[in-house]
Amino acid sequence: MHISEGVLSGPVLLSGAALAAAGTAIGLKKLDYDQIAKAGMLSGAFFVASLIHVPLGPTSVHLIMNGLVGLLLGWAAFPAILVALALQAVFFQFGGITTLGVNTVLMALPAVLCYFAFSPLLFHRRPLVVLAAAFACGFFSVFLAAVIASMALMFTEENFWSVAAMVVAAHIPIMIIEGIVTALCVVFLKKVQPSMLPAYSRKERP
Amino acid sequence: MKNKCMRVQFFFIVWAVMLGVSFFLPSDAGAHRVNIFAWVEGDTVLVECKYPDGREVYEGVIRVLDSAGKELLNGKTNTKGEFSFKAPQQDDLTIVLEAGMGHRADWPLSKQDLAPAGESAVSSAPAPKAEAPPPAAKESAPGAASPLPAGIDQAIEKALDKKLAPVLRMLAEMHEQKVRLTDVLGGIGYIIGLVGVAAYFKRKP
Repeated sequence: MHISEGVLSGPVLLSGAALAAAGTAIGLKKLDYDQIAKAGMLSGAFFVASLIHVPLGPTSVHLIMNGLVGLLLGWAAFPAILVALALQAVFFQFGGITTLGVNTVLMALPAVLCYFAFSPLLFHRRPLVVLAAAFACGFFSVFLAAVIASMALMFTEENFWSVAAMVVAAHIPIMIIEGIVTALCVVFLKKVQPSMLPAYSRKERP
Repeated sequence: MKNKCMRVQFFFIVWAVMLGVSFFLPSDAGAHRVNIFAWVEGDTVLVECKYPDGREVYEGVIRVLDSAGKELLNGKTNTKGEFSFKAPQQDDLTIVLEAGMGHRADWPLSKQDLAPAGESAVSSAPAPKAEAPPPAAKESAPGAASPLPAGIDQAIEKALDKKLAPVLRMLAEMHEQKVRLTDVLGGIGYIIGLVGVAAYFKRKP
């Protein structure tokens, strides 16, 4: 999902950087003291998750975990993902420094959107709804990331629909895997550390 | 009491996962980047493309650009991730690998690297008559550079190419940057440090 350097045109890179800066500013503003440790942990998880990859035909896809990061952090996903991506670019040469902005937006924006869409459902009475919401969060965060990636690539590879179809199709397995992983994490956290989940303080206290 | 027990279990699992990931690193390193390595053998340029975990890039698109950025030729890598072409002209070439979906890498090949290739391309025609005196007009340019007669020059060139091929291959393998454990731990260290910085600036007065 990381876009390498030298693929995108200048205006795309600049607008990506601007959006990432705005998102990060909002994220840092909303990040309160109690959330810092959580943000760090998830940033670390995101950083390492990219090393777990699933071979798939001519290429391979790796775990992204932006759904889980978004679900647990909300807007703070922006700085967490930015930091992790910067470190991935420096240490693993995944993506690149010039494409950092675009890559941050394409992974963090779906994360934030999924947070607003699915976090209210996490403490639903029926466990099946919770499970479905967590799965959908993992699934759609990757799906939206693929869509944004193809929008960015559109300016260089011309045909949006063919690019989008290819990128989305290539990521279908990882969408399903991410959905399952996110669902497992949510179920596990609900049992063990429910205070990590959003909407915890409002809804359910032990 | 039960809650505390669970919490211990939670941290144990987090650490187990992290350790598990690090154990799988050498074989399971990420593949979100491509490596390209190119070298010259005779008048042929060989290109090798791999993912960081050592798997070959097959069906990757190779484009060869000249110093002005004009595309000279293109093609696809075979199942072993290899591609070869005859150097079309003596120029600073850039070999670009595009493995789809934003995966891209390039390898510069300078004029000097290509020089022997250009020479043998020029002198390949009279090669069978190596004993005969070299035709002066075409051979004079490369011949002037070295004191040896053109035939010997060419033989040395060929022998060197043959002997150096395994060394170049080895270099190609060394050039591939794999994800290392130190990098992973370093990155996690940075994140912990940044958490510290954030906690400092957000602390309650």
